[in-house]
Amino acid sequence: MASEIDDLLLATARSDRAAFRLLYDRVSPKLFGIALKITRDRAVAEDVLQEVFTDVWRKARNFDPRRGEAGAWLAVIARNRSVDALRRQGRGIMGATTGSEADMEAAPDPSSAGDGGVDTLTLIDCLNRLEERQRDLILRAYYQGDSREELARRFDAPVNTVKTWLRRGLLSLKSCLDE
Amino acid sequence: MTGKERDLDAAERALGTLPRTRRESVKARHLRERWEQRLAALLKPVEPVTPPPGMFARISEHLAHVETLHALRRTRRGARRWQGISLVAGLAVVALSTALLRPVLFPQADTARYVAVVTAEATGETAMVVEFDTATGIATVIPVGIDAPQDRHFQMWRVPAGESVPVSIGLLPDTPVTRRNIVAAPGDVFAISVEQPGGSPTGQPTDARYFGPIVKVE
Repeated sequence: MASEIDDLLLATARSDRAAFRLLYDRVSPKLFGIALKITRDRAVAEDVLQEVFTDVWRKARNFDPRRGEAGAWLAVIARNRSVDALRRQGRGIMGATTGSEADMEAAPDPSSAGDGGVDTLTLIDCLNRLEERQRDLILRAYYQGDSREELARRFDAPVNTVKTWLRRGLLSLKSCLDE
Repeated sequence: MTGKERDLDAAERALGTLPRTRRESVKARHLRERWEQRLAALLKPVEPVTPPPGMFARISEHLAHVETLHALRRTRRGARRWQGISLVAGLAVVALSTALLRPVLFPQADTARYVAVVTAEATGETAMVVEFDTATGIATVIPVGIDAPQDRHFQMWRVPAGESVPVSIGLLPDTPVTRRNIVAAPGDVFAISVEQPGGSPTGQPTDARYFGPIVKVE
């Protein structure tokens, strides 16, 4: 069943400017929220939002409703662009906080899932079943865009060990989600 | 590589702990997108925040600018209108560059001056600064850390505001150069293409890589 957001994104793919404007009105608060949460800087988040909607206009035709929801497709663009912005900045803002503090602050609170519904709760439930370190690595990488090397420094472990932890975590996560 | 390893590579590309690859097979892309969709559930609890008013207008202007740049690359394949070019992106760079280059560019402060900061479309890096004096028709082109590929030359073009066909200004050496009798105005776009020795064989840009609108410097 296609949602309104799906329809607006599909119309945007046909270069429908009115649909693009409506899509902006509907999803920009969510995407700006994501950009703010990850970059923690209003000016940077505004730049990110501009990049996100430039991508949306130019790449909307890559969206395939059979492969997922438009809302998630858009959120992924916002997340990836936000992480790119952090990397460009050399993560000057995040560098000052310690890993565990940043992770705790960034980790989603299941009670605020709202329209996130079952998907989010399931994912969080599965994340909670992981070993703490695996979970921290995955969340840190997801919300701050850390590379394997940065995670290795932050968690004071060899890169290969980080790779192993990450992959074990991701594998457990997938089997939990597929249950 | 086993299917499991392929899937874990895709998971790490979605997470960002492995770099996104430029050449990704369809299968690998589908695996990555499935992971992106799974992990996107982590974004659902994020609180919405209303962006500042004027943000959509800013995005629209930026899009007009981006589309103009892409249109310029297509000029050989078809005419395209040039109206509505946004100067926003260029102005931001100008603000920075003019501060740095003022002593070089503006020995006399009392004449009306225009500047185009020509940037690489692919990376956004500043490639050249063109200073232009409408009173004398003299343009000074200053390369900023770019060299033409081996056995190739840079050729400079001007796309008049509101028109679709670039007009050649001439080949450029790798050093600062002054060109005389240039007719240009704010709203025009300077472009630099990469050409074989002797310049474009077609009279239109072969490989246009750098673009910059002309803006007035106060």
